[in-house]
Amino acid sequence: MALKSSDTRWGSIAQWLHWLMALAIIGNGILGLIMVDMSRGMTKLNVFAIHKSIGLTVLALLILRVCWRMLDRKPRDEPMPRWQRLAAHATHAVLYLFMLAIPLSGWTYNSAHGNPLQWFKLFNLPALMERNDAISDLARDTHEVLFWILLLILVAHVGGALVHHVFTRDNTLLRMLPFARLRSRNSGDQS
Amino acid sequence: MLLRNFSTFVLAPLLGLSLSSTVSAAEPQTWLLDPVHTQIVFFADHLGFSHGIGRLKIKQGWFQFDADDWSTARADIVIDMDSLDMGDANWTEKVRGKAFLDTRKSPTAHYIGHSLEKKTANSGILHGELWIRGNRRDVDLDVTFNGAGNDPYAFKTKAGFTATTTLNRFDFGMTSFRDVVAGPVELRIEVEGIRSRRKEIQIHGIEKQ
Amino acid sequence: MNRLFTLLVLWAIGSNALAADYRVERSSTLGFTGTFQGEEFNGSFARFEAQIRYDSSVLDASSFDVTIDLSSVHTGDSDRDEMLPTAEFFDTSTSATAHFKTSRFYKSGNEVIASGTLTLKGVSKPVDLNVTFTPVGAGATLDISTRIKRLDFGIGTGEYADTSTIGNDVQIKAHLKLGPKA
Repeated sequence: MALKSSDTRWGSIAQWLHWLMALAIIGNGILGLIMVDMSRGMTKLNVFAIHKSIGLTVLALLILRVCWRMLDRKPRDEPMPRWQRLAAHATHAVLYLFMLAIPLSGWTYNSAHGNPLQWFKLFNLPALMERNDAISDLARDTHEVLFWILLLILVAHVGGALVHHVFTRDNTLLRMLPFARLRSRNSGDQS
Repeated sequence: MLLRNFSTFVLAPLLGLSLSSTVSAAEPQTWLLDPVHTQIVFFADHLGFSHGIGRLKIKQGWFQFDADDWSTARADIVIDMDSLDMGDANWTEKVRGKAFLDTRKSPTAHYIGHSLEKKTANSGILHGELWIRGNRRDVDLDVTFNGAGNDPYAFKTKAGFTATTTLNRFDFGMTSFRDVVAGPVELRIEVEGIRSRRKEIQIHGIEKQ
Repeated sequence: MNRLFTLLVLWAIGSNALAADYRVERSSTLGFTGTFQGEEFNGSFARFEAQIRYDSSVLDASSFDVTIDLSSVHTGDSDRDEMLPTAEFFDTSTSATAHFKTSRFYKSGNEVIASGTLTLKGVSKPVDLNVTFTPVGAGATLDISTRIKRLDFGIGTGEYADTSTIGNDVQIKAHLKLGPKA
């Protein structure tokens, strides 16, 4: 399995970053939804701390991913109607944007609310801004709303991948999966 | 018409009386202060002509009381000094000022009652300390236990007290305008506590100063 | 006999008159600094009473007696301020005040140390304060600092005893503006 992407499939670095971040994002979203309803106590404080740490990790991975994407090449697009190709690229661009905006809005909320920011109890990160109630409320709402919109975008993203895999029967999904064998172009079955 | 009058003026009170029961507690109960029915008034001399009447509300508070054993009683009351009302806007502003209650610096006062000394069947002395305007003094209140029972309108068990004392404002750092307002200030506190399982002062915390 | 009496009286007046009883101005502050999730936070007590008697040249005649209304704490975070009076922290419904009283003063190099007992949440422990006394006109400013371990006093029990989240070390600081007693 090559580290760099080829003409026909994503390299292992791209794949691992993709799935690792997908898991972290979904997991963190679930944590976020649960934690706001928890009753006050040490557990709630710890869950919030973990949520923030995972969020910071996603942000760091995003920066790595963007850098890698600039160094790496992308596989050639599978044959598909122009509108599908445009929709796919647009979805990916928006996803990159959200992977930046959601952690940043969370960080802004945390800073504006005056809360500390620690990465897995190892070191602290600076506040992005001073205490500000109005910005704190706005950032908090933005953080949550962006998440819900993200879910909708993911429907398009995941849905699109499954359509390509089940109906079009091309390699769109397979080439992002580590250890998967690509289908041959002609028969549409796995070679 | 007659039936309605009968129900309103005879039946309801009778039912109320029969529903109310004396609270016989085997151990001290916790009572949260009803912020509406707990009221504080004070009377301060005004130039020797009359006694100005001021009204204060409480922010929150609780007391611990067992009608069968007064020795376990304790109280903790946070008074909302910002709620001061002298009955006239200008007068209220003056009393809020630095020379008097200085409510901007001390928006709340705190009374901590440490022990209740029973004197008669339904009265006693509450020994405690009053923190007001940056001063702390031991203050005793003459307390009358008015009774405990069910409040048929609120569906809660309540205990009520009347407490009085006279403080000297000079003891609390209010030493100016001595010839306008004399030292002694009479205080009267009417208290209604709602029986509660927990001391909510712990849950909702204390006021911000 | 009269002479002896006079001498005794003079001595008594002399040793006490120098150690002044100060009035603590309203602008004085008393607070603490703790750490939460790696970051420092400050708290202060709006209601405290301090009886300060001090003489830098006759330390033996000095004494500090401070009572703090624990329910008057504020740390700038409403969630934290609501937790502090509860049973796991200050437990103000059981012990509403904290008390510090000096037993002796001594010099350690150039520093003045006020040694005494702090009673907090029903626990009494010896605590030493660093004292910096600066005369200002007829009055003075008094800066006091010390460090305690919150767990020594049972502050933050049960699930809150975890010191990796809420630090054990708490710095206590006071800046008292002293005016002469009337």
